[in-house]
Amino acid sequence: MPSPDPLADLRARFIERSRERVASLRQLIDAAVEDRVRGSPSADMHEADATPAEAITRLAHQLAGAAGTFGYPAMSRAAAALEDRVRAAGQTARPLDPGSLEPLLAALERRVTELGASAC
Amino acid sequence: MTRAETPPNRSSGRVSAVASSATAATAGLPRLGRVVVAEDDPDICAVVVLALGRVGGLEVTACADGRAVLDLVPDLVPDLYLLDVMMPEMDGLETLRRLELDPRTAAVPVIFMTARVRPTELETYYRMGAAGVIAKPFDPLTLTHHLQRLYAESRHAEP
Repeated sequence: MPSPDPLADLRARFIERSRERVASLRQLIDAAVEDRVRGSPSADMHEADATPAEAITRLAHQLAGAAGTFGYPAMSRAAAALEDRVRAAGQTARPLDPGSLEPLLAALERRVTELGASAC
Repeated sequence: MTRAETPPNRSSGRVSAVASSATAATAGLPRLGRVVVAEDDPDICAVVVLALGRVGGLEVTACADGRAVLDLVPDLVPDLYLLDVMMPEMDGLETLRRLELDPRTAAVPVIFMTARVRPTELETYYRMGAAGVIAKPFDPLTLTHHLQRLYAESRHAEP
């Protein structure tokens, strides 16, 4: 029997994919730390991303937009805060400080975990 | 709420405020049938396809970026293009520019869907020829309604 909510299946898939994206964000931020040491590219980067910071921005931007569209404003705001922080860092001459992203990423992880729990 | 933004009066260059209700008189104007969507985010793309197709009853073709949109021509020239602004490979702005250069697609209205809706950004979209902007995040269940209105307005505005 079809669900009365036409978006129900897509919402469930989005939550599952969000877990994967947040895990990728975690890896990218860790890679950014490594890149500061070794200057090597990260394995989680899209071909269009020149740096880990660009990859983090892209992923966070996607999460913010999709979460808002699916009706999860708190998660959208958490992802947007991460995106804004990385963008702001990109507008300065200073290198990205991955440590400053940790609280924002942790907040986003909490939102995704909460969504996953409420969907069970 | 879907925020559908209407284009400015081009003679004045003024960008209109966000419009949230269908105020245009659409009776008697052409109905929107075929839409080509370009969106690189698979979740949003799936929502748009469902919203316009299954919910809205439109014929929808989805692409992951602007280059794929251009590759559809001339086999598929829709009634309207709905383009994300930020996409890899070819973004929405460049896609619009190329569509306008092609006589086969130059008259097809282009609507952007984007989270980048600051006044200066809106001015850029409309100056380039966008027929409207759907601000992200949007309400999927009213998306077809807003697209239909923007489409009708774009047809109505033609000389």
